[in-house]
Amino acid sequence: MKLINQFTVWYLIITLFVLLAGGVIIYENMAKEIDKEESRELQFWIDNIAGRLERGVPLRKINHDPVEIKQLQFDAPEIPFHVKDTFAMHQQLQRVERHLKGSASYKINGNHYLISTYDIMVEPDDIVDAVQKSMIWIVVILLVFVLISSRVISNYILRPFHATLAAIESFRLNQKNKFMPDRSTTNEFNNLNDFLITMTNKAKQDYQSLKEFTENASHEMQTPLAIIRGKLELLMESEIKDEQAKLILSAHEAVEKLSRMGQALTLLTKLNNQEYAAGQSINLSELVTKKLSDFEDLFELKTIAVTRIIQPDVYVSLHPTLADILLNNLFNNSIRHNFLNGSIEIDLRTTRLTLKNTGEPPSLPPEELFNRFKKGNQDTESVGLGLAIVKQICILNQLAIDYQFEEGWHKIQVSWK
Amino acid sequence: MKIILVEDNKELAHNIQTFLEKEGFICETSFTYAEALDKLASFEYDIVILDIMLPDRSGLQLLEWIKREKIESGILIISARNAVDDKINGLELGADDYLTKPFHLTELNARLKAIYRRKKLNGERLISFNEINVNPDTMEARVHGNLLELTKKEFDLLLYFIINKNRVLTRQSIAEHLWGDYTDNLANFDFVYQHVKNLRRKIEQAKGRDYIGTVYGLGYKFNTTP
Repeated sequence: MKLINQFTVWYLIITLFVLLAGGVIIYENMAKEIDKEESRELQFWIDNIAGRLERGVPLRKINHDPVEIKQLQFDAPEIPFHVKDTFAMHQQLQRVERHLKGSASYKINGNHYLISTYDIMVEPDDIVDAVQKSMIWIVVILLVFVLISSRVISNYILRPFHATLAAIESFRLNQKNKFMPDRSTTNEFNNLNDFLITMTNKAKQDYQSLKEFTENASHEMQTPLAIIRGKLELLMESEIKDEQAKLILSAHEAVEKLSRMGQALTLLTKLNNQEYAAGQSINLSELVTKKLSDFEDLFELKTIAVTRIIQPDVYVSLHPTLADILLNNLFNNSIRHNFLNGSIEIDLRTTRLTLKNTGEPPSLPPEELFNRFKKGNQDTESVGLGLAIVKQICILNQLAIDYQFEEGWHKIQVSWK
Repeated sequence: MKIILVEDNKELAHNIQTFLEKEGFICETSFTYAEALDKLASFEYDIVILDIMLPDRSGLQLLEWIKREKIESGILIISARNAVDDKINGLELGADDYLTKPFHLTELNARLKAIYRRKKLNGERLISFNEINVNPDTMEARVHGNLLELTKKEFDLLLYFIINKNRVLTRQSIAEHLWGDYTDNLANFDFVYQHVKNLRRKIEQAKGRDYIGTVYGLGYKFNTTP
């Protein structure tokens, strides 16, 4: 839920409660005010009638609906003006309605009269009705104004926040430009920005030192390896026995493997650091064709039959180095895990590259084949990072990769949009 | 051939120097940028072997200096950083070749001789050994004057053998020389055996002597002495 909607909902809930309470207060006050006005009106009438009696207007001329005049004992104390509710027949409406009745007694010309009169009362239902209607209109107007104004105002207030959000989204650790949001008039946003600036600078520093470490580690590791390798090669040239030759070669091969492993791990680190951003689209059709001719004699050595369907001008957005590594690893893989006299099928379409090769059924669950150092066959000389690199390249370039084993065929498919 | 090796790691420098001196080259070493600058200013060298990471400055700066001073030496960069940038920068600045550490010494030898042929001998000279003549430019190999029908890989293999005669060539170093990057994941080197076998057969058919011998447990060797 958007922040502004949350604010609006809470605001409206609170407003609703306040309006409800307000409605009750309005009702109470209105009812009281009306009663007061009405009783004043009644008192005025009664005073008026008493005045007429005093002026000698005969009793029977006055004493008819809605006026009621009764004679009281003269020595009874005068009753002051008071009102009470009563039900009476309403002439026009022809039904019993609630009325307000006012009474007072006067001593006029030696007589003691109790004068009463009544008037139809504004009913509570009517007041409630009126209050309700007004409240509904208020709520409607409030709703419209709040919904419109909140959006306009939030756009204005949250603009620095959205700017920060956009800046942080486009922020890349491996790019040189720093995270520099604009100052805002809102303290909270400035605090957030300050925090983000500190954090991104720190992250950049850490990234830089990690990158340097990786590069240095690879450099520092390769140098001793080169030394060992050189020494072993010099040793090979000297007078040695067969037994020693075997030992030297084993050591040499192990060094070789270690060095390749270091290079593969460095590559994986570089991939994770996103050092190979896809710049432009490359023509995969041309590249696949070129790779096939590069691998030709490797196919031949295992007498592997290659079937190819290559659509011309298939473009995919990928760094050229990565495209090269991707195809190398896939092709190498399809040769290594193939039978002698096996087959390979390459199918390149506009949106996908499918590579099928014959081979033993996989000994690992398919999804694990892409993990680092997972090998279907433990004796092989391979480092076990080839498919991990392939997968990493696919992930970083929004390519989908899928592996299946069907009827003696390993099938790897890379697809893109 | 006179070579200057600019490499800060003494052990590595020692390896390369020992190997190259055995090849009959004169090889001097410098461990720093300053030292190399001194030597390059005073003497002439056919080839400079240049490490990128030097203690006092970058090898690329030395490369720039060499080009500015119009020194005619061939330049081979050796670096552990297999960063694509370094390679491109180095070659753009005018280096002749680039080799990533760790490398086989026999590979270094082949690269050095290729640069030397291109730069100093204008690439015209035949490489000959007894009855065998190899022309790297036309990719022709002759035994007793008879043209051998070699594939590109077999030709490269023969050249590699002759350049590294009397050296032990492991199957690994041969595979890397012939297939470069593609050997990365190849499980075994049976195909090297295949190529060597074919090459020996073809030389033998042309009545050439079989110089290529197997070194038990290690690989192959082009023996000049029977």
